[in-house]
Amino acid sequence: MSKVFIATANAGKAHEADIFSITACNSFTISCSGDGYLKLWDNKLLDNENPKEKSYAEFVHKTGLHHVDVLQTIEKDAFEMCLVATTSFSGDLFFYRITRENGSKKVIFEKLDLLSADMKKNSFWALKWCASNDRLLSHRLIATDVKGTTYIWKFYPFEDQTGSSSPDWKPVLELQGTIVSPMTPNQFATCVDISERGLIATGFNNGTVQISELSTLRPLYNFESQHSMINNSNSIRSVQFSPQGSLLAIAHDSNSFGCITLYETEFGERIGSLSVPTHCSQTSLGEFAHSSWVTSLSFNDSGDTLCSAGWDGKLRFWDIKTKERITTLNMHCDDIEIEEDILAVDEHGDSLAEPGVFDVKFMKKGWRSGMGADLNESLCCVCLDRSIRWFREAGGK
Amino acid sequence: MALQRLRKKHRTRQELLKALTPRTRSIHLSPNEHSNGSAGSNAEVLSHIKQILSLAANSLEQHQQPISIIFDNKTKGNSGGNKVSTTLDFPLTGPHLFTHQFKLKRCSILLNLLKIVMEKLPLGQNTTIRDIFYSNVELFQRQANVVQWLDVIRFNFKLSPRKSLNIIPAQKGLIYSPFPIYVYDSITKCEDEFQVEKQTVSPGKPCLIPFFQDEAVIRLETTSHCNIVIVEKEAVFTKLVSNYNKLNANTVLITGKGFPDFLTRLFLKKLEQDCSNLISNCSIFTDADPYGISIALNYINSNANASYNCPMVNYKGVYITQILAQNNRTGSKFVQLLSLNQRDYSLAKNLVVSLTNNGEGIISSPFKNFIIECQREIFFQKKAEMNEIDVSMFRLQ
Repeated sequence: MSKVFIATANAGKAHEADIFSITACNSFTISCSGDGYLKLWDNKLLDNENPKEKSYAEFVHKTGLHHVDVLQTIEKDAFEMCLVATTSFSGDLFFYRITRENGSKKVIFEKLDLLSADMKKNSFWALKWCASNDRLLSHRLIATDVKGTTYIWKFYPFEDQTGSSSPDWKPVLELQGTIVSPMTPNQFATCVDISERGLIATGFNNGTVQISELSTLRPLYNFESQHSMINNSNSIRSVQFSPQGSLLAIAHDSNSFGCITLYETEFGERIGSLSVPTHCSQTSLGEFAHSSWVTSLSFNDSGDTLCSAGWDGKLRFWDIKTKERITTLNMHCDDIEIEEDILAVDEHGDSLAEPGVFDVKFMKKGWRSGMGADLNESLCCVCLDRSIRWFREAGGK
Repeated sequence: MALQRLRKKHRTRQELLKALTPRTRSIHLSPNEHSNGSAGSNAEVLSHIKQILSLAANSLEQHQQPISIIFDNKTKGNSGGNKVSTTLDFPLTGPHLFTHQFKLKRCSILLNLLKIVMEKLPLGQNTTIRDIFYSNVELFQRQANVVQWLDVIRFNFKLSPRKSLNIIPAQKGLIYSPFPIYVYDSITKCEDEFQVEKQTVSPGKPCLIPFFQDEAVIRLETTSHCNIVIVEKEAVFTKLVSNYNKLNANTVLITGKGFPDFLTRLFLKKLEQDCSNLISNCSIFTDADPYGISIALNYINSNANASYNCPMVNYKGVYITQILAQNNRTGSKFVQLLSLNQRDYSLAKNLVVSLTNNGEGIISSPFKNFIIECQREIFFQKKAEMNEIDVSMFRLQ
């Protein structure tokens, strides 16, 4: 089954520094960058509308931001909530509530102070919201810190949970617990994800992935990436559960190449890896997904397609059932429509002709506007040339 | 008998102790206590040292009286006003006899250093700290002790730090130049009498950066523009010297061997001041790790002393992205990538925090390159050494 993706929109020079992370919800695509800004990009664009015309920026921290995630839900009494969490290079965790002014549709960033002073002393790294579809269960936030600890909070948006008539907006984060890294010396916890089935995966700098149970916060098992014995450059770059939670995809380095390994989550068995044939002379263990690091993974809504972002400037799409590559999208700095926004060389003087991809996210059907948007899934990615690109699946069912 | 008489005279234990403690003779290290004005010329310093040593010798030999040397200590972070006086007793008495042995050592280090200064100063030749250290390793134990106590002497004698007493740090910086470089240094022979000394950096072979005073003038014996390349490591320096033909014509190579000493930085500053019309470019290459960034920053901007800061130096690498690019290029040498450890991470994080702390954003910051490189190393959690990097990297594009 072949899939074709076509570019729908792009924004060059979206930020002044590297855009390390991107996330999306129904209303916005959200990017965060080393320049310290959080930017919201409206998903609902008219034809030929420049994404920059409908982008909203908020300066968060001067050391720069590296991870961002969003929680957009509709609570009881049709209370719309859009919460953005982001982490800075100084290790701080910031929260914003995004609202729109009624008449002008102006976007308002409301900064929330949800962490206790003690908690603020930690240096946070990756983070992930987990929306709960069940009104009785709370939403959760998971974050890792640089010492390898995973923190799990329960999020309560309203003061009174007992079901009074009008909900009082009073957001509270209540620490459910922490999962301490089993390794000494401490390893950097690079990425985290949570599954529908209540599992937490934390990826570490040394190639280990720890799977824990959300209900008990008990570590279940560890995966060691296949190259960990051979060389020491095998950091886990991304962990991603499939939407149904039965699969875990792990992106990890093999020196300067990138691999993707799939595990099933019930027994923790390795079920294969995604790779392309390489003609690399430098290593005999050539099972690579990208000829540079795989920086990010994203499953589509149905879970049968996985998209991987590579530092080699490629997005690759994989069929999970056959474990074969469906298609590849090549990034080029000249893709950017507006000529002034093309960044061909960075400030170091290095060419950005084939810019590495920092992050990629699938977007659900109907999130983006435009032709065929309700029938097709979309995708957004951020590249080293400081651009954001949006794609959508061609055709549709 | 005598003791009994004493006990009658001094009823309490305290009084008895006081009566039994011998009176000490105080020797002030700082000349200001008695005579106003600093010890300016060498002759004055000499006479003062002689005075101190003879006072101590007389007291111990002739009067059998213990001495206590009193000196002022620099207080950290406090430039004026508060001086902290310290006392060193010799020999030890009373309850400190067995617990304060280390104080005796300090006393002998101080007296020894005074003696060395007294012997070396009239010779008019420079002595290196390293030579002094190796003249009596058993006593000094660590070279840092020599530095510390020389600082104490200089501070108390109101002498300029680092340059006086004819004791200098051993030169660390290496230079390789295709043309001769002359250093004209004026040396005070006696009062009001100067002599210009000419030192030459001979072309075509690596040599130590010669020692010179602040007021020295540097001349480049060339008519065409030259290109200065600073590298962090001696290994890379030697590699570049042996592959000199692959570099740009008229390239001057400099290495400070890790963190540069003041002499290397002063030499660069002098080059910038005196020969800027002949220098077309000045770039620095360090390891792609947080220490490398810190070293490069040290050349350009170190908080210690503005007169050593050399803004003409451009931080040109080696960046972690360049190493990745080299690794991914077929046929080029493979550079091992290592994970950042917790220590590296803290350093990098502190660098980002301090570099962005000056109020302006990353966009307008003069250290944008540094901030971006720091952020990338943190984000990727990787570092690499520059030893195996292609020589072509050091060419100007």
